[in-house]
Amino acid sequence: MSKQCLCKPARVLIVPCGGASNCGQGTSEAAVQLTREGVGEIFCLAGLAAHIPQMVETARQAERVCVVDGCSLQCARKTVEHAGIAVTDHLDLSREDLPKSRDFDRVQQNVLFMVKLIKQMLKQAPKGVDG
Amino acid sequence: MADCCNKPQGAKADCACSGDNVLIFACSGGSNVGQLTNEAAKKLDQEGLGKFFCLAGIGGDIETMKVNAAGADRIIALDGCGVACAKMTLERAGLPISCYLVVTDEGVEKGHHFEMSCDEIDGICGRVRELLA
Repeated sequence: MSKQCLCKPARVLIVPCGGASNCGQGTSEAAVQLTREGVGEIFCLAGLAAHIPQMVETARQAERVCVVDGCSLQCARKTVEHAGIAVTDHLDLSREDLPKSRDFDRVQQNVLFMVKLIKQMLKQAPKGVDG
Repeated sequence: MADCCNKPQGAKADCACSGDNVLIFACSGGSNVGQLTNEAAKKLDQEGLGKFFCLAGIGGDIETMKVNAAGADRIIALDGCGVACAKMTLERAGLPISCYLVVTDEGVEKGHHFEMSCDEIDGICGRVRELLA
């Protein structure tokens, strides 16, 4: 059994909610794409939700913690903050007029839009949660 | 992401033994095995085995989501690796897990990449069904 977390310190962490809707799933896919492009590193939100000490410490070392939430419940932001980590950048997709549904086959169409928004956000100075 | 997998026929089943009283949680972590739990959870939801539920809602301490989860008949938890983040998140919230699977225990090696095969997704879904039987 692999008990080794592969999350490593990175300058920019991208933390998707990964929730069970088209928007939530889109956050995961966008985070994967941004990791592949080298914009940042996807980080396991579940590790922070579980308060795994090593993972909380790794997250704390990041310069920017970019949290992407699929809906207005903002579960990812609340999870990160619950673990005592400051959110430097936050995207709440409910403000972007994307229809939310449980259709997991209709995720990809929103991913490019999310990637673009996150890249724009990261090009600017951190604005925190209400930015 | 694998997009070649067989889509379930006939979408969600209306059978009383499946559906919203069974909740599926995936760690959805930042590795191949983490993302594999996510793909398996989506597939099992689409096949009608249960309802894919936001683990982040539990981690974020959202009261209504914790209440909804506590009302489930059964909770399935899928972790990518032995760090067991999904399991520990649910346990922290006092939610009992009735079916638990760790992807690396099923012979999939963890790596810092996001590649996976349809066979791996189908294999995890099959193991969940076996564990529930």
